[in-house]
Amino acid sequence: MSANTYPLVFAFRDAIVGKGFVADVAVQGRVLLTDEADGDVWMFGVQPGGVAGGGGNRSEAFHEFKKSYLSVLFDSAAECASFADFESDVKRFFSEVNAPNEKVWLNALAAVREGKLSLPNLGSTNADLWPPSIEIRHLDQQASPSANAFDMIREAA
Amino acid sequence: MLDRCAPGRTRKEREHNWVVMYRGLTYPRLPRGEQGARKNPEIQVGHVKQMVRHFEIEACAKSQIELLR
Repeated sequence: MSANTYPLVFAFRDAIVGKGFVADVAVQGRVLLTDEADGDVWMFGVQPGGVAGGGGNRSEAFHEFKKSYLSVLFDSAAECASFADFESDVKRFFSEVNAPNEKVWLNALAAVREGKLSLPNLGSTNADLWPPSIEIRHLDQQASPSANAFDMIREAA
Repeated sequence: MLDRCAPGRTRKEREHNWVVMYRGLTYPRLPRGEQGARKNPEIQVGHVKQMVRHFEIEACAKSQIELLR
């Protein structure tokens, strides 16, 4: 893994339209931000472990990571016949941890806590307050503006 | 590379991605390309890196694909 590797936490909340249902999917996850040798920036998922995204700079990497994550949810919504199937499929996707990345993430978190690593120009947050989690609700039965939320991404500290 | 490093893996096609399954794990994000059903879309090496780490086959994959080193 690149020397410039940072532990991040993120939160996404999205309305996903399926076959006859709308789902409110709220996740808190973990991801590694890396400065690759070719100059690109990549975000490699820890949990969920099955997605990544990259680009020429940090903004592009964020955008592509979110796009990767959404593409998996969109695929599930297009394929699953019911909300229950979708919920099961997405929870299974989220539960898979990328084990090698997790080790790197924990080591990087330790380095941040020891003051040896810091990501400039991004706020940090106590990682212990943002454990990985997922909630999926059947939105059309519980629609409320309280379901609207901005994406959040911070350095884990 | 997967023939050698992930024998027995299976795959399926979804709307936006190829999904690869190996030893009980699923990698759901090998992009099919902007136009959808392209036969050989260029896949960024970062997605392959993530997949081989997820399946814990990185050492084997690096021996097969120079770009992963």
